[in-house]
Amino acid sequence: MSRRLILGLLLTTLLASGCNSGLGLDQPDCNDLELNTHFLAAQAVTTAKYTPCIDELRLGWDSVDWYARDGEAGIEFRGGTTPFLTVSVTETCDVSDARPARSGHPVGYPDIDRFEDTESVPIVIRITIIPLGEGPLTSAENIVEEFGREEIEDRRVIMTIDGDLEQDARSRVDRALANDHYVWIISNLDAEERTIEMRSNTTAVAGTGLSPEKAIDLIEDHVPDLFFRGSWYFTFEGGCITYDFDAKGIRAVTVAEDADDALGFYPAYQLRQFFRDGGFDMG
Amino acid sequence: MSNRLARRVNLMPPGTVMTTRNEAVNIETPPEVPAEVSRPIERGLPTIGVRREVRVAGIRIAGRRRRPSGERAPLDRELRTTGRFWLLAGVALIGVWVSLFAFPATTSWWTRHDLSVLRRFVDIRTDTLTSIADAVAVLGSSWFLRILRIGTLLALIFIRRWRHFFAVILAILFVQWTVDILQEVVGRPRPLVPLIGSWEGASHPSGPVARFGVTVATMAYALVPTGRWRRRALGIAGGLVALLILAQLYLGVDHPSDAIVSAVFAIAVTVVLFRWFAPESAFPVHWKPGVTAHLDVTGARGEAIREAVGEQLGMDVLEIKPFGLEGSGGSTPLRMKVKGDPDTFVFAKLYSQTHLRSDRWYKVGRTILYGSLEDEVRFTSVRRLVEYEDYIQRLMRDAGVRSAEPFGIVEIAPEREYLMVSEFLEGSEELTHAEIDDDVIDDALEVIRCMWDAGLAHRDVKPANVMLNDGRIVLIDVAFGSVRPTPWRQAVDLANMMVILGLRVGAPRVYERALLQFAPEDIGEAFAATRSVTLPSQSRSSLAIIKKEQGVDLVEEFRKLAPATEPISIQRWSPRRQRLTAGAALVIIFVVGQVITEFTGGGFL
Repeated sequence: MSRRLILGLLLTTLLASGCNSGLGLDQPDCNDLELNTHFLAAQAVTTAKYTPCIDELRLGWDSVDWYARDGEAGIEFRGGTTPFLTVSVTETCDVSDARPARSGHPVGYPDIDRFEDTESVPIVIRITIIPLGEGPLTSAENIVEEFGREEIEDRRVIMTIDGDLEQDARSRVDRALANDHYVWIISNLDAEERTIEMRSNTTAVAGTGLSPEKAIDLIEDHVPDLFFRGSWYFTFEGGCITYDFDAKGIRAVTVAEDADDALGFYPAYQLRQFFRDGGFDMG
Repeated sequence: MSNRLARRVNLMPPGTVMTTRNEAVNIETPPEVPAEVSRPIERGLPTIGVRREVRVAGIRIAGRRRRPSGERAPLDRELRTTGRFWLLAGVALIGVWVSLFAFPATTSWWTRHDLSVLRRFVDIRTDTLTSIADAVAVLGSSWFLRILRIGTLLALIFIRRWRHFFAVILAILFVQWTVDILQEVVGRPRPLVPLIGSWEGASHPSGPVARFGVTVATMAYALVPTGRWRRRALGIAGGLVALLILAQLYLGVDHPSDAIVSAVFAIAVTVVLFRWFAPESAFPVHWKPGVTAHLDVTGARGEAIREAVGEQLGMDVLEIKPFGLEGSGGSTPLRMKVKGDPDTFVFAKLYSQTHLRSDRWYKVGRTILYGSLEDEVRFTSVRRLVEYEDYIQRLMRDAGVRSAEPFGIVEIAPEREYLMVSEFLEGSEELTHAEIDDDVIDDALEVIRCMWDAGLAHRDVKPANVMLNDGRIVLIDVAFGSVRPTPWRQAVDLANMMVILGLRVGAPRVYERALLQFAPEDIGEAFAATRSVTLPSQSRSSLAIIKKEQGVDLVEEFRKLAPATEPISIQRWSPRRQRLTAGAALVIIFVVGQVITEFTGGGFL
C-alpha cells in the first residue's frame, strides 16, 4: 500500500471520527447547553452572567464565525463574504452615547437592560405631489394611480397629494422638503403636457418639465444606499453583549428584526455554578 | 559491461561470456589467458565465484558483485534514526487523536490527569513567578513569531536558499493549518483552573507552543549548518519550547497534554518535512551565498559511491571531485580517479531525485515560456532518467557519433540516486577554444549528418557540449537526445552546430563546407526553424557579443547564404501550456497578495 494511500486513509479516519464524535466547536446553539463553545465563551468573560447564542439562523446568513479569547467571545455573521453583524460579550461596554431601547428589557430577561445607538436611511421613498390648481390636481391623481406602487432600489414609493389649494404653494413645498420628501409640483402647463417640476433636498435631484418616469429615474440615480449600522447593547450583571451592525442593501431592512429573533442569551452563570459545585473553577 | 563491449576492448578471451552476475566465466576449454588480463583476485568476497581482473583503457576492473536480496543499498535513506523517531511520534499523535474522536469519553481521563498537574502549578503561583511566566509567554506571541519568521525568510532570501525558504513556509503553513483545524474539530475548553494568561480559541492543540515550536525548529534546520552547531541550536530550541510550555501551564491557559502534543507535532512535522523536501545531503546548509543544486559527495555519500562503484563496476575509486559544476544544472558531474596502471580518471554524473525534480520544473518553465517545443514530458523516476541517458548515449555511439565511452550505471540508492560512469575525455577542449581547420569543420558537420541518418537529434548542441579530442569532434551531454524527433529539431541541431563553427570562422566558410554534406534546402530549413528559443543560451550570448563588437548578425548571414525559406512554426499554445500559464499566474497573484497581506499586518507569518 502506498504511503499516500495510508496518509489519505489516516486523514479520512481522523476527519470522519472527528465529525462523528461529540467533540468540536459547534455554533453556540441556545437550545444545547452543553456545547464547548458555551464553555469557552464563559471562560473568556468569567464575570458575565450571559453569553450570546443562536436560537435559529436566518435565510441569507451564510456563514457564522465564532471566536473566544481572554476578555471577549463573539459570533460574526456574514452574508457572502461580508460581515454584517458581530455579536460579542465583554465585561463592560460604553453605553454613554446610546439611548435606552423603547422596547425595554428583552422578553423574558428582566435583568438585562437594552440600549441602542443605530442609524439607517428610511426604507421608503416619499414623494409629495403639489398641484397648483384643479386641472393639476386631476393630473396628480392620475400620476398616483399610475406610479403609486413603484419600487425604487428595493424601496417602496409612497406618493401623497397635498391638495390644499387654499394654502400657498411655497409653504406646502417647504413643509414637504422639511420632512425630507421629494416634491413634484404640477402647474397647469405641466398638467397639459403631463410633466412635473421636481425639487428635493439633493441639488442634483431637481428639474422642470420632467415626465414622471424621468423623475423616478433621477431619484433612482441619486437615492442613497440602504444601510443599517450602529450598536445595540445588552447590559447585565458582570458583562455586556454588544450587537454591532453594518448591514447594507436589502439586508439593512430586515437585519434588526432578524437579529432580535435569531439571537439569544446563554445562561453562563448556571454553567459556572455547575462546575463550582463539582469543585472546578472556570477561571 | 556488455559482452560486445568487453570483446571490443579485448577484455575477454574467446569462449568467455559475462554471466548474470557480471562475472566472466569460461564455457569452453579454458584458453591460455595472459596473466595481466585475467587472474583470480581477492576483494573480500570469497563466496562469490571466480573473480578476474581486467583492464579497460588502463582502468583496473575487478571483483564485481551483485547485491544480494535483503542487503542494504550503499546509501541509506535520509530519514535516519531521528527522522524515524519523529515520524513515529507524529503517527502516534494521530493515533491519540483518532482514539480521542472514536472514544470521546477518554477526554475525561485526559482532563482529570491534566488538571491534577495544573493544580500544582496554581498552588505555587506568586507575583514574581507570574511576571516571569508572562515574560516567557511572549515567545508564543504573534508579533514575536512574526519577527522570527520574517527574519528567517529574509536571511534565506539573502543566501538564496530557496529550497529551505519553501521548506520553512511549508512547515509553518502545515502546522498552522493543522492546529487551526484541530482546534475547531477537538474544541477543547480551556483548563478548569483560574486563567491568568492570554489565550485565544480552543485549548487543544496549543497554538502558541505549536507555532513557536515549528518556528524555532525550522530556524535550526534552515539556518544552522549540520553537526555540532545544529545540535546546539536544536538543544536551545528545545529548551525554549520547554520554557514556553511551563509558562503556559503556570498561567493555566493550556493543559499539559495540549502543550506537549503541540511541541511534538511541530517538531515532527519540521524534521520529516526537511528530511523529505530539503535533505541535508542534497541541500547542505552553509552561509555562502549561491545556488547549490549539486549533491555533496563527501561523507556518507562519498563512501557510498566508492563502495557502489567498487562492487558494481569493479573499479577502485581513489578520489572523487566535483567537475565542471558551473556548466551543469541537471546532474552533479564528478571526476573520479580510479586505480589502474597508471591511475586514471573517469567521468561520472550523479543523478538524484533532486535533479529529477529540477528537470520537472525546468520543463514546466520551458513549457510556460516557450510552449511545448517537443517532448517536454517529465521523467517519472531517477532510474528512468539514467536508463534513458545511457540508452541514448549508446545509440549515438552505434550511429557513429563520437561520445565518451560509457562504463555503466551504478546504483547508489535504489530509485533515488544513480551514477553514470563513462570515459574521461582527457585533454579535450571546447570547440570554441580550439584551433579549427576545414577537417574539424567537416568532422563537426559529419556528426550532425550521422545523427540525421540515424534518425536522432541531440537537442542541446551548444559550445560546452561540442569538444575536440585528439583532433576529432566528440559530442557530450546527450541526455536531451531524441529518437525520430520532429524534423525541425534535427534541422535546429544543424543550425546550432553551424552557429558554433561560424562564431570561430565566419558564416561563408562554414556554409561552403556544409554544402559538402547537406543540401542548400537543408540549411535553409535549419535557419528557418532557428529563433531565440531554439538557440542555447550559451550560443545566444556569444552571438550577442559578436553582434555588439563586430556588428555581425551571424544567423542572418546564414539565412542570406541559404535559399530563402518560410519560417517554420515550432510552438503552439497547447491546452497544457494554457493550464500551466494560468496556474503560474494564479500562484504569482497569490504570492503577491500574501506579501501585501504580510506587510499590512495579516497573513500566516
